[in-house]
Amino acid sequence: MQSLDDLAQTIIALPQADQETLINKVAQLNFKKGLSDLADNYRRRLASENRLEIPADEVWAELQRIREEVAKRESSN
Amino acid sequence: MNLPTERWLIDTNVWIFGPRRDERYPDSVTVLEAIGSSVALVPPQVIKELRLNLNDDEMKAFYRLLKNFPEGVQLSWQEAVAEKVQSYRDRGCRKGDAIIASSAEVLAAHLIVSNNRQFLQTINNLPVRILTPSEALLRLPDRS
Repeated sequence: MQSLDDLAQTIIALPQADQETLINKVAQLNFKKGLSDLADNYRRRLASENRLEIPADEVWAELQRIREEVAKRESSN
Repeated sequence: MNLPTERWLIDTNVWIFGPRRDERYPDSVTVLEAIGSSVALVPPQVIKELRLNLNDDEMKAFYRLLKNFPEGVQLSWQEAVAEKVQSYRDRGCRKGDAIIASSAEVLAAHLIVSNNRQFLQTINNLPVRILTPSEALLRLPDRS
């Protein structure tokens, strides 16, 4: 495996456009990994609360209730 | 990877069904994983709803994700405009959905991505397009 210094040298040898593409790609992959970690933690918590396997219509009802609750709060402010 | 050209307001239900990895909504997680191919817009209504679904640690992780990927995600605290909200309500949207549609217009979103059937059914009456995650994915160059 290349050292970080070697890797940096390889990257700066690339054309500017490729460097930008690479940086964006790394940012996107980091986002995807962070999202996966968040999903794992979220699922673990829901499972511990016995809420992971609840029917979709119950999830929807809760999402709708929250949506209208937040909207109502906004209009009263 | 080209810079994203489309701006998508991703509705709360996609942010919830995606991380749940719910088999009934498999494309929700795919849309979230594809952020960067489009810019995801996150308006105040979505943030406030997520706060009521996620705990403090999960919310911190969510903010960290957004903060570390400004090229792919745009967080907005710009509140919805009352007149616009009312115009969407007049078209048949419920108040919360009207706020989302109004935010999409203000943030110059190309579309709203949602699994919300009732929201999707008002599709013909709204200036803002609403697509399901699977329909939205077809708009990405490498997936059509």
